[in-house]
Amino acid sequence: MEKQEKRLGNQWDMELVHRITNIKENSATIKEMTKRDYIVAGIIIVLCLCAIIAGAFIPA
Amino acid sequence: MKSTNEEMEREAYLGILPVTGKERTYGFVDALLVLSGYCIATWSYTQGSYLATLVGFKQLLIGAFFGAILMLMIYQLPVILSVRYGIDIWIWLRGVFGTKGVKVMTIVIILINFPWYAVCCDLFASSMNSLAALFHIKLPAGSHLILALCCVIIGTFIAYRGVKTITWTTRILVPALLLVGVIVVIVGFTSVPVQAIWDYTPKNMPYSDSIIPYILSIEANFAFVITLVGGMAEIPRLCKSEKAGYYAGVLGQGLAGSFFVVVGAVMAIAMEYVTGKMIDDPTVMMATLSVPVLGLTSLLLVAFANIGTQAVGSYIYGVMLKSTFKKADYRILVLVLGIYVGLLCVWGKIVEYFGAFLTISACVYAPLAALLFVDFFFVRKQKLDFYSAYEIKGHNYYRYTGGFNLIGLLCLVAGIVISLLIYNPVTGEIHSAFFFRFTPTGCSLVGTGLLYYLLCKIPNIRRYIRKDASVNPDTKPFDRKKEPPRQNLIAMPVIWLGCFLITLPARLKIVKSDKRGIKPPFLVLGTHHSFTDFYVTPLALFPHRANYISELEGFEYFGEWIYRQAGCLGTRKFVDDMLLIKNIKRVLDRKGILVLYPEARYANVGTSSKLPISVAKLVKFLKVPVITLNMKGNYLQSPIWNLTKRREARLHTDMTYALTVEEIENMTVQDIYAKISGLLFYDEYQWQRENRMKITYEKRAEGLHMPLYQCRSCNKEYSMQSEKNKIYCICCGKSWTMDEYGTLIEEETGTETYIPDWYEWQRGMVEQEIHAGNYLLDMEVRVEALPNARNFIDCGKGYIYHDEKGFQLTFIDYEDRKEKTLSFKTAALTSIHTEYNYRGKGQCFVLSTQDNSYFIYPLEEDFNVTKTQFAAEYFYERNEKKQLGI
Repeated sequence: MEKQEKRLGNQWDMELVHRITNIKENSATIKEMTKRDYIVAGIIIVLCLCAIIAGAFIPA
Repeated sequence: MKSTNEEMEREAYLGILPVTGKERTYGFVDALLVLSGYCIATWSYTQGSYLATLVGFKQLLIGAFFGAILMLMIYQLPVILSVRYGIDIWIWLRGVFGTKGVKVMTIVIILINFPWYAVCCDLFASSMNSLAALFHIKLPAGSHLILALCCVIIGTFIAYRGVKTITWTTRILVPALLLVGVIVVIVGFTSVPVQAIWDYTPKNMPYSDSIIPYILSIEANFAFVITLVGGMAEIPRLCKSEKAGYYAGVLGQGLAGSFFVVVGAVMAIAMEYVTGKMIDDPTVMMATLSVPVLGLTSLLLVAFANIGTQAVGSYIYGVMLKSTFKKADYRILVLVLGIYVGLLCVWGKIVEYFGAFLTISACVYAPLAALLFVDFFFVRKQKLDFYSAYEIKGHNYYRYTGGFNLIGLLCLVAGIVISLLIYNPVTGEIHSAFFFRFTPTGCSLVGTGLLYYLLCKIPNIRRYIRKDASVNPDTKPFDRKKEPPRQNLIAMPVIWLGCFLITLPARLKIVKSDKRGIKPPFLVLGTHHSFTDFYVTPLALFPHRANYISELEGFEYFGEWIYRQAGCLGTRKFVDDMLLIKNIKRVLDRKGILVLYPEARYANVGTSSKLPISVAKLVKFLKVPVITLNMKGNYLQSPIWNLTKRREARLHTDMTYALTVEEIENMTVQDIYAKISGLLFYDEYQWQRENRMKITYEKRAEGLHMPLYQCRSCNKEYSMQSEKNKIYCICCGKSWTMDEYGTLIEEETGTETYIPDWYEWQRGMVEQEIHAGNYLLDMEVRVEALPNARNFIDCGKGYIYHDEKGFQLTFIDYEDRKEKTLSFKTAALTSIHTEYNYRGKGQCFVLSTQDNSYFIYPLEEDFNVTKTQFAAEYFYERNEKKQLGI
């Protein structure tokens, strides 16, 4: 059991290093947010803020 | 092999290994469904009925949807790091809190967050009891607790099975729940007049200002969604695109979650209309407003919602704990979480005390979210050192102070304080009406983020936080063209006062040889012993402002903005820089004063270095009067090889009107050179003896073995050591005591040796070695580049080679990660900059190009930077003579 745990531990470390060194390649296959996506997000944030401010003027 | 692979795969999904691109399983829809399932719990109904006690239906809709989405859109943005790198945010947060600090934070988050699940289980049990009562089924005593524990057990079991089980569960569960939610809304709107719900406003509000309950409702929506920050990344890290992961989180919680908040509000409003009481139990509501059999829909509403929430929550926090306690088994952690919830259910008072848990916990989540946001986007700029984050041996950038990032933790506490200073969540007392308008959570979010951002701008703090700068360094070269500003006028009194106070203990005396009262523009040439020179010079020039030529590493240490405000022009040592000459001219053309320390190095043993001829050429070119400052005592007070200040050292400066414009015009470069060299000549130990200035500091010789590296007795190099007031050779055992006047006395024979003589004797030995053809430097080194005033960049290991042609430095260039060899020719190097213990990293020397400085640390024994300096200087002299045909 101890040997198996140690074996798994070593393999875990190796696997971790392998995955870390491949992170750049991984991230290249993941589609990143573009500038346009950030702009759209910013617009949504501003719209939400405007809606909240407008809500303050609804009569109680 | 297969079982090992399965283990590894399990570790990716259920552990902390980064999930690779190929292993991503979630598109937008799946992630949306899982996160929606997580949010759709009876706590949504509780939230909805609470909001209905504060605001009317229209304001409630705005707050529930727009308030939630606003907060989610902001704090969820860093989730893209989880998608991009396949990691949990708690891996990233090791950079923010430190490797041990993050462990404390995860436990805190779980302790304050998991009562949510006990509430769900309690409400599940209540609803099931109510359902049984509707159908006249009598449940045994203690059934409430048993039902609550059933919810815990089933949810934990689903989580135990792993992410695939959760995915399938939520694919069925969430659409069904959404359908049931629609039915509830329909029942609500049809069982009471639509207008009654639409026009609903709460009665008997205790607030005189109607804006207060609206702000409280927005705050409640902010606090409600921000409690999910701890677990926001476990699902997105399984997504295939950043946009999918991001919007799944925003919409899963902002739309699906908010929809059920509104469902809860509709139920509560409808119940109040019909019965006069705000009730958020869907079982009671269905039975009262519709037909009892529809109460069975509550089975779906309450039972599956809570079980689904329990499952997803256990998975999310199980993985979160796993990222902190990596050796723990995920399944064990899920069981531990289940036991914790179970114990809270057994305690039975979670609903009674939940208000306190919820409100106080919101104070923690907002600063946490802010720190993550600012750290990801502005401090580390989306790059992390994963080796350090995963604590791989030999990589410890995130260990900070005993495993705790004091700055991150300080900002977290500050964020909690900000929130509490505005509003007391326990008593409901508003302390600051102005800031309350921006909500305590909003203020805490912005305040914490701003504080962390500004603190990271301070150079010392930036260096503390960004030990991992080499992962994502700022590589833009220092702007040499930038026009030097005048010394900040507002800062001048502070500078003068500071300099006065610093030099006061040493009783600085400034003697001006000429009382002509020279006016700017003029050039000041000063001796260069130590950093004290920068405190003495402003006092000598008082009341004038001046600009100072300063080496770039000072800009990096103190911050570029501060240095420029202090009037410094940045440059690199021992390079030809025409832009610097241009800036010097600019300073003098605008009738300023320019201060230059032409030795370009601190005194190693308190004696003047040979000046480059270019100084005289510069004087000839600039055609302005020249003042010399020959400072004394600055080296004795704080020698470069042992910076501890000697309290007995006295400071003295001779300020001489060296050259008028007419004299400069009439003199040759050589004559100017001779005059300046004479005026800037010094020997600190000679001055100390002549003035009988005792220095009794008991460790006065510690570190002296750095400039005196070769034994005067046995000639062995690198064998000298020092302790207290002695230096000794570990090879032949000879020992010298440094007396209180800086003289070395050999212990055996009593022979006196002056430190500068010993130093120059070493120089002679190097020259002999060169003549004999025995000199060669060929060594493995560590290289750090300094391209600008922002950061050093660790270039890793390299090689240095030095012979009569010059230096060749081979290293991995950080720009293109390829091996590069730079040559520094002898003819261009009058000397080299050396350090005996640079920022605690040991001895090094520096080679510079116009846009970069390379700090070179030896990785082999038997090396001394002073010897390399001697060799470089000698090679230059020999080459010069060769060029001149001497």
